[in-house]
Amino acid sequence: MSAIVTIALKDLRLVLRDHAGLFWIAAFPILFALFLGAVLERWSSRDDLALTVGLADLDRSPEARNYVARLMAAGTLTVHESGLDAARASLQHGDIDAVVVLQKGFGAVPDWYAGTAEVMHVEADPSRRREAGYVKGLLLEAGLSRAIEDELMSDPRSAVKVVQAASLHATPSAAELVTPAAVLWGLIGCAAAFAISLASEKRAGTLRRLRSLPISDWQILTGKALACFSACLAIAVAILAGALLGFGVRLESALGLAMAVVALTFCFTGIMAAISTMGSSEQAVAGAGWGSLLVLGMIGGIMVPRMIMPSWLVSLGGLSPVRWGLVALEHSLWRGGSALDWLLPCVWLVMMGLCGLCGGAMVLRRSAA
Amino acid sequence: MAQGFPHETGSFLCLPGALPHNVSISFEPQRSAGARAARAFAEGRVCHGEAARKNRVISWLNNVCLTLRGLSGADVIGLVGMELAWALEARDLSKWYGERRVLRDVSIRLAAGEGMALLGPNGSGKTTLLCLLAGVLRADHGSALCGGVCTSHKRARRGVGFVPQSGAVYDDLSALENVALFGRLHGLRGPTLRTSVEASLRQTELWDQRDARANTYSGGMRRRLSLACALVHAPAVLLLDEPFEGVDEDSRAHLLEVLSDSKRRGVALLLSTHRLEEVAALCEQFTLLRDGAVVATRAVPESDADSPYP
Repeated sequence: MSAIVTIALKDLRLVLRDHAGLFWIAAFPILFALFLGAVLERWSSRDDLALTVGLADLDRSPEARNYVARLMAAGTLTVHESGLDAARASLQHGDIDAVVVLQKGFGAVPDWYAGTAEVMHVEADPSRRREAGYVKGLLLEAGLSRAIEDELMSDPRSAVKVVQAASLHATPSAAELVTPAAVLWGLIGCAAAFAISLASEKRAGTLRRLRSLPISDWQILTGKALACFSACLAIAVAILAGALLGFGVRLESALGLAMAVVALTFCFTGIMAAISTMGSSEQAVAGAGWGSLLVLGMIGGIMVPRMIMPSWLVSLGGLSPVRWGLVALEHSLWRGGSALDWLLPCVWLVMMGLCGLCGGAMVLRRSAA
Repeated sequence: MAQGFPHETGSFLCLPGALPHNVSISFEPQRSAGARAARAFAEGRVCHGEAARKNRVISWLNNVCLTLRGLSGADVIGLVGMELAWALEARDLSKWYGERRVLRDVSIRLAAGEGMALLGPNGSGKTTLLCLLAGVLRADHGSALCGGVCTSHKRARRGVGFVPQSGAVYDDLSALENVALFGRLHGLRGPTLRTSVEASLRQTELWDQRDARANTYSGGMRRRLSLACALVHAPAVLLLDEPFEGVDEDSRAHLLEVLSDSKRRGVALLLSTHRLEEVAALCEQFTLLRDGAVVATRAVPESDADSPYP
């Protein structure tokens, strides 16, 4: 046991003295959290998040002008009025999200919103049909609003009401949304930084020296895993403490959070152990480490929002510990729910960590043969 | 109690009357290195176990000849068991890297206080042999023994000090931290650790720079630090992989002095090198390897006048 602790302390000391490595472990996740927090803050406020469209009025009738003015005044879309060719060029350059074309004869069909005739069309990138549909809804809304004002019809929007989900006690703040991702980025940075330590030892020849000592390969790897576990735990606790105390993030279950953090830390320690044996040079291990961890992060939902992923990628995300970590942290922090909601992800995370540790130990042992 | 010279029978020597009639000593006659080891042992500079510390054993020159005083048969058996095992022994070691056989049935033996050089061109298997003997690699065939115990066992590796080819020290740790780390991993604690670390660093003349990080050291100092890390637990065997590569004349002379001193204390040295001056200064034998096989094992021509040893 003392050999394991000695190796762990040595690795921690080396990491503390490596300022570049320390940046990836300690500073990067905090910077990322601030960046992601700023993005989400803007998203949740929705003030300047309107889609931008180019509008080409081919009709030029008073009704069409009136509609354009109403659309601009609504502020739900950022409208740039221009000629059709110029609008299409802007779309091609990616400056706008869609082109709205008011066709000739628009003014001749005042009740177009009732579906009496096709008076306009939306041109959009086929890959952005979701946004095009959103624009279509806002265009209809602008048309309806005039009919409602003129009391030609009642407001059909009142038929659907958006309310706070009963399972959520309050809308999650940007800090609450960001905190689990920040913790996971911290763990990813930490695991990647520690993964190369074994390759560094190989390069420097110290691994040979360690193996000539009266200690086993298992003790060497466990010592490194203990160092990684301690650093990961410290990072996770620091980020969570900052989030809870500094940003007022809610805490639904302290026990759940503790278990989630320990399980996540153990899981990433196992992943570190597996990655550390993936190559013989630091470059190979660093590449393999960041590559595989970023893929896990991507499919796990901390880089790309799950809502824009195809269904098969969402299913694949179930294999990522990042996904399970997010679930466990969100439930214990602000989603709430039953103990099973965070307990099952924790079990899954521990199992993945065990697989990583055993795999790493087997590869290291085989390398001696 | 028996006294006198044994009768040589083949390569075995028996001590008539010293041991129960069913016990014989089974080691081969040694050259003068054996005599030096025996003298070092007799003078108490090499101690293996309590029996050796309590009793005085005087041994001979050239051929094995023990004069045993005040020892019971059991003591002798214990003592013989400890002392007569080869300090280091490779028995038919073979190693494959994939399809390539890098060592072919290599056998060498080294007694306490003896030095052996591994010579051969690059790729002849010197480093692999040292790694197998240090327990870093596992042999595909044969066995590597230290003090009669297979080096895959931790107990055997306690007696081995290994100096790999590269510096093999932690650049971001100080000399003191490096040596203390390896001392701790050898199981040293408390005052013993402190004393051993200081002794190693003083022996390699790094005590004054003990707080400087290894990455600020010159190549020669790093070699000395690497040696200090290997010496901290007072090993019985030192395995050195090209210890004189890339060191200046001063550091070389100092390394030679440290290694010579270790030999005088009874440490067995096995070093791979391309430099014949060091072979002549430190070794009684050399083994020539080519394509992983032993081509020859010969005695280094001795020049007593030049020899720095008694």
